[in-house]
Amino acid sequence: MNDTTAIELTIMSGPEDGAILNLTKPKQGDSYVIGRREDCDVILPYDSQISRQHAALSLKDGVWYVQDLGSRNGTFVGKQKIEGPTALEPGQMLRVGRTWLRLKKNAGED
Amino acid sequence: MDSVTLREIEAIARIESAKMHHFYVGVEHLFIALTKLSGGIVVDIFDQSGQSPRYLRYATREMAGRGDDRRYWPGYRTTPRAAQVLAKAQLLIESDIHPDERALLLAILDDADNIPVRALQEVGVNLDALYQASLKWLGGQRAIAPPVEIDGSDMLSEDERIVLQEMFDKYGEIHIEHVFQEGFSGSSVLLVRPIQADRRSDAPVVVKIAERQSILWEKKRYDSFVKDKLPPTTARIEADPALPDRSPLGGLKYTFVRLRGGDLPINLREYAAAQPAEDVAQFLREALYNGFREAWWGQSQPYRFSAWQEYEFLLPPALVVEALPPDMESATGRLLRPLDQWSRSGGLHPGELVELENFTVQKVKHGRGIVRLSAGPAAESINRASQVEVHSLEAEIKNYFRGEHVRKIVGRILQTRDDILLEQVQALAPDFSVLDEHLPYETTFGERLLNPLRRYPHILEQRISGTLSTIHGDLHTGNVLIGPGGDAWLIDFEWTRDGHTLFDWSVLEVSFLIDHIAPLLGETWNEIWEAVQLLEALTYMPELPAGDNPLTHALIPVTEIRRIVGELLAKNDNWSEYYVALALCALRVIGWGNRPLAARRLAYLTSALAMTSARTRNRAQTTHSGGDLTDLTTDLD
Repeated sequence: MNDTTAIELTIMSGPEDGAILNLTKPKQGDSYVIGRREDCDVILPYDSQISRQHAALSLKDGVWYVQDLGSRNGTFVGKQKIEGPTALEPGQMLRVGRTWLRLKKNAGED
Repeated sequence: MDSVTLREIEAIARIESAKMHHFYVGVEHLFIALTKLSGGIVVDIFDQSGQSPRYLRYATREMAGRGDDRRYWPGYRTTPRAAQVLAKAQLLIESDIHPDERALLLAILDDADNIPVRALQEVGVNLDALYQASLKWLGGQRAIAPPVEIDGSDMLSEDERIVLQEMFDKYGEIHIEHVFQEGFSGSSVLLVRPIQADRRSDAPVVVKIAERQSILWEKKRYDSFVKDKLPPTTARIEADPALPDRSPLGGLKYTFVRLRGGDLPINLREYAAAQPAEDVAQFLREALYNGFREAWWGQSQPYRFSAWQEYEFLLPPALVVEALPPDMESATGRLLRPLDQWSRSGGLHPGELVELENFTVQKVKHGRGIVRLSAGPAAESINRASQVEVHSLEAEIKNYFRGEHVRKIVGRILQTRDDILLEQVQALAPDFSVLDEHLPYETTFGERLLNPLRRYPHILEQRISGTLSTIHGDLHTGNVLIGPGGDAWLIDFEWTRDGHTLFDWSVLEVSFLIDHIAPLLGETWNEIWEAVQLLEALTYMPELPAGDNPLTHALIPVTEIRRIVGELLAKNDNWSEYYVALALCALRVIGWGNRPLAARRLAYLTSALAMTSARTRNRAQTTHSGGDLTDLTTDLD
């Protein structure tokens, strides 16, 4: 879990649908944290089904993984609720709470 | 072809968003809005391909999900994606893609990533085919926005509903909180509370719905006579009138602030029915008279006129004429021009041929082929004098428009004003000879009442030294609302103009008499006459002696009106100025078949009393011996 690189996340639903987040460096540690809390890397304050610290994105061997951080409502890749770190294919959508996110296509290959 | 605009679609999208507890406008809401335009592009295309637009709507809603109950910001935001899509649609519109809904649908499909596109893919819609179909769509029917829900719509006609839909199209729902008691015209006045999509309700507004022309007319009058003269706390006309193409009616909104304590606002008619007469009298003086005197009646200028110039229009038309078929138009008859003597003095008879020259169209009754002509198009009441009702114009009715000049119409007289008034009096089942000069009733001073049917032509010619001011023009009790803190709020400015200062007060008195006094009376002529005797007492004493008679008590507001009139008379104590006005305003009422017999009989005797009283120069000089009154009516100066 080193090797962290810049990624581009697009919000795909909700009030910020269409917003593009350019992340360059996690605030803490090696992974980007998604959640409602102010100190997350991806702050999604308008979705009450998102936990304070909901999920994390991290890069391993050139592949991005998403991992649930013990959220109340779980994290989904496509329609599948994930258990443990799950690899994301470029352009694949993931969902936290009611909010869909998408990693930029081919992001891992940059 | 008129069509739904991008802005209107956004308004529908906001409503849809609120239903889903989102409170932002996203592409999904814009798409759902498109699916709600019946006859619109989405509905049309999917109907043709056998798919249900409703199903697409559900699929889109399901993908977007329902939002939180709490709100995170006031108002509505637009998502970044929706902003892009709307900007794209706007570009398409500017590059001549029409109508707006096509541009929006293409912009949504172009974006590819948004929720509705994802939802469409999920349910197996072929997006390329949809894109092609949108380009080719012919827009066969006119798209219609979804209706605003009207709570209380059972009280309304279809045409009224259409007007309200247009007036409140930014709202998902409105509540009809109150239907004010009908005025004298065919219009309706409603208290409407708009409900925002998030269920919060806005301040209620008073809405008037009437024939389009009346609504347009009223807005014009309001702008020229009212807007700059209103006291600070009264109702105002808000924005421009709603005039939907699909309805013969139009609507106006008056602003309104809710009464303290949450009471419903009521009009003066309802107020007078429920409140003590003393309170009504106080309202008349303090709220109505004092509130508007400074801007209106108080700013009066000396004005010398013949009664007909200000009052003839209240009476039935001078003539009812049947238009001759076009091939007989070369026939020559008696030449009648507006404002000439013939319209007052009579001397015309049914069957006679007449040529009507240089009249103005005052009203068009499309369904019945009837055009009402009058003297001119402007606001002053003289323009409504010399009315002639022309029948049998079914074939060419579309050529007539209110306010337009008519060079010539040839026709045959069906009825004269005398005939019409005679019919109206006969409908009162008179117990006297209708053609006698006098009625079998004597005043306290032994003077027999003049018969209005015989006397009115004389009254019309009477010269009056009065005053001129801005007047409301139809100040009956239904047009006065009781606003917050007991202020008087006037509505219905259709006939607001510069005119005889006392006009408003004679209309108001008659309105009181028929709506509040008549219901207290039996309908026999004797009982009516007893009430009129109390009115007669008011001509020679400042107020009626307090007593057990409930009628005396009920007349307290009328007594107050007379006090106010006393202050407005052009010449101290020259009450003829008022009695002439009152006589003609009361005479108008006998033709209102929808009023109870007692009300119409009361109006007739009130008119007779007023005509009789108008003969005496003023109440202080009334001759008590009776019998040898000098007729001063030819010149009151």
